[in-house]
Amino acid sequence: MTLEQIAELETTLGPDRVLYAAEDLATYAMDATATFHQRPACVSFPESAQEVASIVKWAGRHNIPVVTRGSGTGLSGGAVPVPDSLVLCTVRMDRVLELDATNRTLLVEPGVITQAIAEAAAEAELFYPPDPGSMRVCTIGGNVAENAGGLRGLKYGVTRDYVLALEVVMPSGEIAWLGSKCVKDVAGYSLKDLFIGSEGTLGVVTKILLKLIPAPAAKRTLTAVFDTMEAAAAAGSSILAARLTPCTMEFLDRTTMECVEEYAKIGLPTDAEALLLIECDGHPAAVEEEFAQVESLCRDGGARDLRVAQSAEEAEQLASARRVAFAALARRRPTTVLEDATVPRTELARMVRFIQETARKHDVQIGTFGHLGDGNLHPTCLCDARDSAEMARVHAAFDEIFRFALELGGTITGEHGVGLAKRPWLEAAVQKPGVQLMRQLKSVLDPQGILNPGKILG
Amino acid sequence: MATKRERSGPRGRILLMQQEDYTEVLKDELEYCLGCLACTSACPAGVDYGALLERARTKTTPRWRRALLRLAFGGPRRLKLLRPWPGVPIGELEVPAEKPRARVGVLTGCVQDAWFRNVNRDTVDILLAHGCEVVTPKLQGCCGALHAHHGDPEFGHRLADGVTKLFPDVDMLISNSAGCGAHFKRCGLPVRDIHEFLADLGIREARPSPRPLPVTYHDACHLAHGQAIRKEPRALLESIPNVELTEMHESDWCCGNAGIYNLTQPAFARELRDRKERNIRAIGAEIVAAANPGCLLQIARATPDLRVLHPVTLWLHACAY
Repeated sequence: MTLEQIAELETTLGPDRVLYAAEDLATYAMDATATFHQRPACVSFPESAQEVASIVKWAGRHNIPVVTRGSGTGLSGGAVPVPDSLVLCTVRMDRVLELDATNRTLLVEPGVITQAIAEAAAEAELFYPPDPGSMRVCTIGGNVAENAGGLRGLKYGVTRDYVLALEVVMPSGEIAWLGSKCVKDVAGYSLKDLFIGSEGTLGVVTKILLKLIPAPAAKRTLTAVFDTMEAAAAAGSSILAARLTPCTMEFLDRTTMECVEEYAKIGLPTDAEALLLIECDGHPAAVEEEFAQVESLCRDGGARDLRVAQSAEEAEQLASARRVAFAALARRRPTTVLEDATVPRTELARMVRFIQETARKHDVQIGTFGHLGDGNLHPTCLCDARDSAEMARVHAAFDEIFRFALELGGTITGEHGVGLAKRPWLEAAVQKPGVQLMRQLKSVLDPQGILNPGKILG
Repeated sequence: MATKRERSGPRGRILLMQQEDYTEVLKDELEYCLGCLACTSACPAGVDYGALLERARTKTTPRWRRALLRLAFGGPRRLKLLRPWPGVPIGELEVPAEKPRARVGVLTGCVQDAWFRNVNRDTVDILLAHGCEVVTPKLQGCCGALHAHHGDPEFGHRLADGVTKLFPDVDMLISNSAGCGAHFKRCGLPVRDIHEFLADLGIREARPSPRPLPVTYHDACHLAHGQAIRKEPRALLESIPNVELTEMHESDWCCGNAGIYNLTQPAFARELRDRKERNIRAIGAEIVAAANPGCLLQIARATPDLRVLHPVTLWLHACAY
């Protein structure tokens, strides 16, 4: 990139919205994935779709790659710059544009923090369910780019299920509105679905029309400790088999429980293999009935140390055991590698065992926690990026873990995306025809390869 | 938050601190950083940003400022210039009316002792009222927090050490100033904040206020974030019958005083002060309680029509309001 090219950008956006000092570039060189660093050549902060379009056209003219970024909390390297690239940072596009309580929709810009969306919905007694772990910091644009999940995925689904429409700036600079406010709309291909989860490689999202649902009136929470992971998984299965659908069914393995206890000191046992967090929400009468059944199924399944929250405050405390898991694990070693291999829920216990054995085999520390209800596991490796020998063993361990997940009919990523981190395993996950089709789509939409090159597809 | 740039947040600043050369940008950002430690409260991974900031500032704080702070606050006798007239007297040893339950020393501070001597008097009185024998050496001088926060942590540590050595044998040293207490603790010296000490002893009920008093509590940064003390000052306020404690929005947001921040970053200090004022007025409080002299000064400037005082002062004097 040349100074003349940067000057062009400054003329369009204004000098306070273009950064290129060495230190600024250094602070945008990574996302939340521990091991990828790459300085961009420039960082820009557009405030409108028109400005995004100008940036994309500028990039096309000069053949400069554009890497879109929200809060930089991604866990697969999707927002890590490529060499000599422009970071397009959406944080200044942070307005909530319209709350339509009757139609139950919320129109927002991509830089709005997910927590703010939940709060905006709550003001109208509506509910935006997807609750990724980083929701206090992450942006909705990032959630759309990755099709983010969260703890409530079991009952409520993921980000995709709540996107009615998108305004997208195409690699050509054209601005397209995909989808509509209608509950039903089948005019043409469902293009918005192509962009959701495309990790910034097909377009830049500049507006998002979200669907909201009525807020559940009641919620009950419990945690239960099990002697073995198998017993915990079986209890979870029995709950689903009883045609109950808790809004949240999460687990922590022993390593994770140890770390959480070290940090939060809430009296978790250190001799148990699994902790489950289960929440039921909905109509108060339904919740009471469902929850009573959940409780009894847990007891029948051998749960000990069953803690039932008697107040909203207690519920928060119990849930926090799960919500701080990642951070508690991160305290142990300098580097934390968090993955999200996913398997059909019936295979969960087997997968957790395999992860534990593989960790021992390669002499690495891995704690696993995650979404018992939908089989989305977060094997988390505690290591030190400065120890290249250890990192090689970490890579080898995850290679085995991903391949085994695929063998069990699972996938390499349930919600974090492929980005850079999982590129090596994409073909194993989706097979050659799948990869080929993706390449074809990418080359049609982005012939110059301007948007986030090298992510997902190598 | 204010600039929406990575370098203005703890994550970006730590990254910059890891760079080899400390450039103007880092100096700039470390001047801009309040040192409020809200990030350490938020970080479940336990990163000690306060320590990182102190260390980084040894390389970025201008030498003239360090020299000036040493000159102005480096010796107890110099501080008499801040308040040349005698303040309310505090005996070097004061005994309670009952059999003493503990023997404690009170840290008088520098700004506190010069401009808020009544808070030190009230601290002694509340300790007496809780059955403590109180030792308060005269002319204690600055604890060194200012120096530690401005690139001179060794000097700051020496000052703190020197202050503690002024005390004869006591069970505990008590601080009534959030910033100072946090600094003593960081230096590893045995100090407790007045609120946590009283909570441990068991807070006694105060004499009641004759009428309902709407009070709100401002969490000083170095109490809430620096020492994780939030419940105890509120418990002290709630032990006063007829006090109606209402939480304000963003009660633990920095008021903008931040040591000498009003001097180094007046515009942003003013923004934060205005924000704090809006939050106080939004709940209609008549009294604002805060446990740090800097905060008391700043909030009094923000809301000159309201009573702004230390929780111990309210505990003792609510009966007269």
